[in-house]
Amino acid sequence: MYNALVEAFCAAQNASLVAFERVRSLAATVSADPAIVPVSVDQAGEFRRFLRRVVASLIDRASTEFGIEGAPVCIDETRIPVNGYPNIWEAIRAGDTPDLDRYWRVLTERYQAGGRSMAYRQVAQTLATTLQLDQPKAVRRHAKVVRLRLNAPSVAVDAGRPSRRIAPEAHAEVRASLLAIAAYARAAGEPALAGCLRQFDHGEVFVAQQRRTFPGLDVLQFNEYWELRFTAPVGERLLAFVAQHLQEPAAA
Amino acid sequence: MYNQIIEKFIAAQHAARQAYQDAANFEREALAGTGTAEPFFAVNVRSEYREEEELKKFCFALASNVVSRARRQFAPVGARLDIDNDAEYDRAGLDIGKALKKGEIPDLDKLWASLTAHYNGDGGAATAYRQAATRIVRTLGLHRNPEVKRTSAGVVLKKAVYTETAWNSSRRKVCYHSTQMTADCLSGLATFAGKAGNVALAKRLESIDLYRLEYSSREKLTMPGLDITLFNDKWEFKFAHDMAEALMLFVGEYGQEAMQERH
Repeated sequence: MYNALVEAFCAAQNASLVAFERVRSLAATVSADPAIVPVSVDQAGEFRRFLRRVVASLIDRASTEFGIEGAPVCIDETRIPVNGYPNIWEAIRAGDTPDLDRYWRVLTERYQAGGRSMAYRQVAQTLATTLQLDQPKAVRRHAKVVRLRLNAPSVAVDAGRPSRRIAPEAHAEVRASLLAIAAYARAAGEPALAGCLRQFDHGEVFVAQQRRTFPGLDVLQFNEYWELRFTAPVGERLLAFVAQHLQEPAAA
Repeated sequence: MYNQIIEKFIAAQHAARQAYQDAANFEREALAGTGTAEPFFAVNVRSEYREEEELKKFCFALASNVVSRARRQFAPVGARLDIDNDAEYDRAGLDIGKALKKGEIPDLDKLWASLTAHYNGDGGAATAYRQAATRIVRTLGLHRNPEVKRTSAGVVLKKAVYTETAWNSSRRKVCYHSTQMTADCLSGLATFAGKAGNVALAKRLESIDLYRLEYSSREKLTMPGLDITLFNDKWEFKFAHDMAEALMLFVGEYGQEAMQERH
């Protein structure tokens, strides 16, 4: 399918080239400067850019198809050699036209079986790093809640007012963490929590110590960090989930 | 003929667009079930705006090609014919942008017909000679001071040419701001020489490169029928009697308008 697409694109390029070439030869008969006909000079470059877009969408498709819902598996295509090149991007850069259908089969072989467990492991890893679970005081257990801490430095929206917003450099981490919790919640059978977290805009303006309430989770937004208060069963299951999936790679 | 080229160009644009559109449709069908959404498809079709711009650019380039063809074709041998693009478009009643906006093909055949009618035969030569005579009159200041100095050896005309010292030597070279006027003068004289049948003089005049020319004061360039003495702030053109007569006739025939100018 992908190879057929590449062929269709080549055909389109050729058809366009032939059409403009005809005009160019006609212009030459009246001694007009043939340079006025804008024959696309960078055919090879256009083709390369097309190939890159196709490969990007192919990998994106693989990561969503082989991952779990809400947490696509992160595919490392840079380690898959193609036609004697270290990876597919190098092959395209060198002007090679890789066999994309075969590449899709390679990705399927590698990720179809182990993709889901790999995605779970990636979610667990994200949670472990962003919640700093390796720190001794990362988890505080109480009778009804489990308190976790998410680093989220914020900056004042404008001077003299108490409104704050996540610092630009922290956006990615906070978002990754919230999406990982959402993915966990979906896997743990808490679809309400997952849905709410997906819709939660972490970049919204807040006033310090504002509390956001989700089913099974309260988020307290402080200046330098956010406190995640899970109800005890949800929090314990989250910790168990992380522990379980982080052990697996040693076994796998 | 030119209109036909534009038609072919539009047809080529349509063909190219159709080809890319086919590929794009194929991709959207093939990847329908895979969750790839609209902005992430790999085949792009160019926007209509880009195509219109391309067509407009092509039409303008072709029209100016038509005019430069006239410039080459209708100028007498060895002479330069200046034709202004926009003046010619106006004469032919051609407005490319307007025609394209209406969805018509700009009539470049009419432009070529108008150019041919105006410059073919003696029209082009007369215009080129008039332009050359104008350059001679203006640069030698004949309209300001029509009385020329006659000596026994010939007729002397003066032209102010300012110079500066050449780099690392005591020789002189023509100043930056005097080059254009001097070049105009020399090209006018070369055209005149060609018209007067003195081909050797025309060749010599044309071969003077003002950017490379270095001389010491009072140096003399000797050519058949014309001596040029180079001073620090003027050049003296000394014409032989027969060339001077021919020049006066040339200016009288083609330079009357320029002679009437007041400054």
